[in-house]
Amino acid sequence: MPTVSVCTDAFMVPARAMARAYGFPGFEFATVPHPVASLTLPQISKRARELMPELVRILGGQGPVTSPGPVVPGLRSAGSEATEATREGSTSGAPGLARAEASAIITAQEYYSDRGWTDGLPVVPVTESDLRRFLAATARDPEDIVLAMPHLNRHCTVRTAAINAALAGCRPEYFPVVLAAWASLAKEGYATKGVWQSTTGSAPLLVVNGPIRGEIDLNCRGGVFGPGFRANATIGRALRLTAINCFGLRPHELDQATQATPAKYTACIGENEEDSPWSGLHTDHGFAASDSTVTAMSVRSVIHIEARHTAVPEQLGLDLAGTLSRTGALVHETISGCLVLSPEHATVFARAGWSKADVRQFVYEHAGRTREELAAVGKDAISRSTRWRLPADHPDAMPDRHSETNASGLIRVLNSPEALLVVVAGADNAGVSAVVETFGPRGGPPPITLIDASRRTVTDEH
Amino acid sequence: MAQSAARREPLLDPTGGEHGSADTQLAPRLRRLAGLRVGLLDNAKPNASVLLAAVATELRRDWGVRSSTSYAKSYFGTPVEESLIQRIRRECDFVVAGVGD
Repeated sequence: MPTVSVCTDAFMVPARAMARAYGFPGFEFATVPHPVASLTLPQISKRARELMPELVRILGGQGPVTSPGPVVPGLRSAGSEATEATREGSTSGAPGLARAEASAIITAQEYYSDRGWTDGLPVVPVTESDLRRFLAATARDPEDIVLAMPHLNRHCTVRTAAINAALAGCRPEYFPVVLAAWASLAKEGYATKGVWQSTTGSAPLLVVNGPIRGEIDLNCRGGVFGPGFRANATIGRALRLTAINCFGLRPHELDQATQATPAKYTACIGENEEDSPWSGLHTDHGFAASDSTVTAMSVRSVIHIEARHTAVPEQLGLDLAGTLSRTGALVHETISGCLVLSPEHATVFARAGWSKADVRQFVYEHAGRTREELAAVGKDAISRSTRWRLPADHPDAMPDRHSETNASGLIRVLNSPEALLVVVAGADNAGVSAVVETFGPRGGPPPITLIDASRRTVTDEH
Repeated sequence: MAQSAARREPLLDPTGGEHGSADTQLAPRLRRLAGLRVGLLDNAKPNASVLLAAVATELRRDWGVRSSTSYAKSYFGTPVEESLIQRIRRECDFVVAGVGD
């Protein structure tokens, strides 16, 4: 059916990339100046009027206005680079072996960089024999699909996930964690709904539980969100390189993030089960302590909390609740989150006899804003069509769910205590924690996924 | 690993190859719009329905379009459901979709 798509000029690059993804490299869009969302009705009518000649021309229609006639399909895009040959460096028997290898590595870096197969940092060159070691770390078939993005017309197989894990610098023994991360992301759902290409600029965060943390030296203690640990750094990065290389989610193209977040490079932490006064996240949801799991979350940001001053659980709870309920994250009616408590903060609660469920309940009850605070930022109602927050005097506004029911004058930002997860991570050395802002209203069980360590029958071990 | 260092192997492509759709033909373009039925596909972005309604007004008034019907995607980040596509095919002659913003 003849169709014309209307798109604002600010989004022409991703629009063309989407058209290419669907095999229409010359697809024409009818463009309007950005933005549309904030226009008044008369402004929209004017835009529509100005749009008409182009819109009708693309459809091929003739009418009262002289139009250029049927559309000639546009030019094919330049496409991929012409050269396919690898530019291998000279390694011809020079006595300085280390120098020769370094130049080969640099040559390989340039090869990947020239093709855009990187997040900007150097990647590890991957050959078929490297790939075999990764595929030997899983029982899954190389052609199994780990994640499909139907809206991008692309999917990732075990084989492609393995190449990108190797490229990211993973060791083969990390690969089962990477596969479990993809399975968890599939369960979590936001990656397959277009969120990874959104202007919001979210990133996946992985929380790892169980014995695998020790086996692959995955950091769950000091500097847990920071650098220095190969497993953390490269498992998270494996997802990003796959997003860029396999799903085509490059910034300025299909990744339309306005600013993005540093977590897009990599975000993978272990839970510090050893220093936690409570049991691990996975055991809260029916897994054995001896199971190893990955839990994926789509996150807006990781907010830092510094509260060294108190051993009173209510004070600490209110500090966390106040951070969680910041209005900047209140795009929708409610939010969700994950408290990543340092062992010291977890102990403040545990010493007072609070369970994890008590913490969730307290923060749920106190994380909110008054009607006046929401009105002051123009978020005191929700849209009838999108359910996004907007000012109560907007023509599309309707009251939010909590407007009639609040007794204390507080509009809660969580829909239930279950919309908040609690994890313990970091060094047991200070009252420093984090509030992770996760996507969606949530409230259901988190997508905790067992790491399957069963191996393929290895036939070609060297 | 060490013994394979001397062997030169090709570097692997991490993109997973071409995933492009097999059918990449645009629908035949229209000769004229007069008398046709337009479908307006609202992708649920803010003001999309308002802009599409304004386009429909223009199409009816100046281009002789017979009728317009509005449809909405359930979520802007995912493709239109196949059942909705089939419904639009039955009920319309061409489609205006928007707004990418």
